[in-house]
Amino acid sequence: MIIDFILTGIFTFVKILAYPILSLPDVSIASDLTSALYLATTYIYSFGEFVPLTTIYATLGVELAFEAGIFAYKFVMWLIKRLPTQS
Amino acid sequence: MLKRDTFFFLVIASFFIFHNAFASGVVASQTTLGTNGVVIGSSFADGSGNEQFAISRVNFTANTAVSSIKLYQISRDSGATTTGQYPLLIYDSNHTTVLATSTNMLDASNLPTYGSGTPYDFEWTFSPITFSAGHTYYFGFQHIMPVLSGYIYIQSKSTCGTGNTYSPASGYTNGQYQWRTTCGGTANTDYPTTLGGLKYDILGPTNTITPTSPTGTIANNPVFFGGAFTETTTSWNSFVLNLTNNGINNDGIGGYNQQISFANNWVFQQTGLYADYESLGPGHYTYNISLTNTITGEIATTTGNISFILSSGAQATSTSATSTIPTIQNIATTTCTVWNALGCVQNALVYAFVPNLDIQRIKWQSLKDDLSNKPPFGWIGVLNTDINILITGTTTPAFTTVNLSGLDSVLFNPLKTAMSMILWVGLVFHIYRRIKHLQL
Repeated sequence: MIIDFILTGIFTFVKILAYPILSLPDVSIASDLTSALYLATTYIYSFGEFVPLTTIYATLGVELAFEAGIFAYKFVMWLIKRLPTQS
Repeated sequence: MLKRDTFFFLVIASFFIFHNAFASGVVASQTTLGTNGVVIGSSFADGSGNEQFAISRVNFTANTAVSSIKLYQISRDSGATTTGQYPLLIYDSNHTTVLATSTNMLDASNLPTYGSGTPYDFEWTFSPITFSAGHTYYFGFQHIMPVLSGYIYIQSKSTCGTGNTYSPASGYTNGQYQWRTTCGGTANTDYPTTLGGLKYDILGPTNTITPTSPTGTIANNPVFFGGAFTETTTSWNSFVLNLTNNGINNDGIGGYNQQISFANNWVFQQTGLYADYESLGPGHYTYNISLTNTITGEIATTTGNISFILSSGAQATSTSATSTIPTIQNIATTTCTVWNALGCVQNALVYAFVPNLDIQRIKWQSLKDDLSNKPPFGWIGVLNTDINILITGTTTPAFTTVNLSGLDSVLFNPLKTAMSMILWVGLVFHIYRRIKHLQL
């Protein structure tokens, strides 16, 4: 009961912090967009005989992850520099 | 060389270019009604010497299931009595084969006389037939119907064929619409890709979901939620499951409402919807499902709410079963009796200090699920879902290239291997240069 009470308190605190986000509407994406992507794949796969699609997806993923990592690093550094104790 | 900002702009722009590419609900339609007359359709031999009439042709860019075709504003000739039952037929692109015949027929005696009554709308239904992407299909009537002895009219536009103007038959004025083999003295080839005035809807099959209460044991994971769709294709892959947990003791304590989609690791298969027990947790549940066909835009839903109970042992039980979640965890090493106070003390300590993890898990899981559906976190799930569609959404190409049998092993596969190596080496080289010139 005591631990439950503490955990419930923490839960309530977290939920209050998250309230601004929870009050937003759910993210949804138009089914038209999903169907458009589905259609796009049918055209992309038409070139699968000649083009190494798997490799393209993989290399594109690696490149995007790399760039996202750099961006995240710069963003964190930018945030840290905004802290009052940092010059 | 494209700058990186330009590249990302192009990626994002191309992502949204497709956004408005498709209509929803009705899988194909023409919606404009003309105000002037035209002879519509054309005759062609059906391969057996019988003349057919096409009144429209359609071409889908993706495989599409069709279950009915509705024509608007149909009238009949005022100069003759038009009677009989008229099925609608779907022909292949060569006009030679009837692919489907409607299961119902238009009763011509129900049609109003042109100009004197309210034009009639009629929907012909079919056993679901799939129109293949890239193929042209025609729908129309058999010539054996008394078209020539009693015309049927449909509102349409004022010209037919290129440069031809229809001169109405004797007794008719421009503005009356009839199916004929000729238009302005020549064969009418003015099919509805240019026939802007004919109004019709082509509709996909109506699907219903048969919801079920989860049954079985943990050994049968995942739990089955409902399914059985008319169109057994993977295009049914966008669903929303409205799930309500009313608490372990059906008292609302620790309960939650949530809309579940693929982002929550639920699985859709052709026969239904599945989820594993552990992602749900124990409790009294109700649910309903809304499922969207991403190709046709059709939406299938369950009727009403289905209720079921999951116990802590993760066995699904019938709706009449009761929860087996204990209010206090049974971890005392000895039983509390009048003659064994130690067991009672242990129970008291458990009650005081051991949290009910089931309840906590439900609450935190609920919060996590709620947050995962909200921006900005929800966009990650949405993007992940759509990127997965892009990568693995289909294995059916929109078009096929020439037959390459025999060339694959000696030419294209080695070429693809070489291209793969070039791509990987290029990527490594690119990242090396990127790091070398990186300014952090």
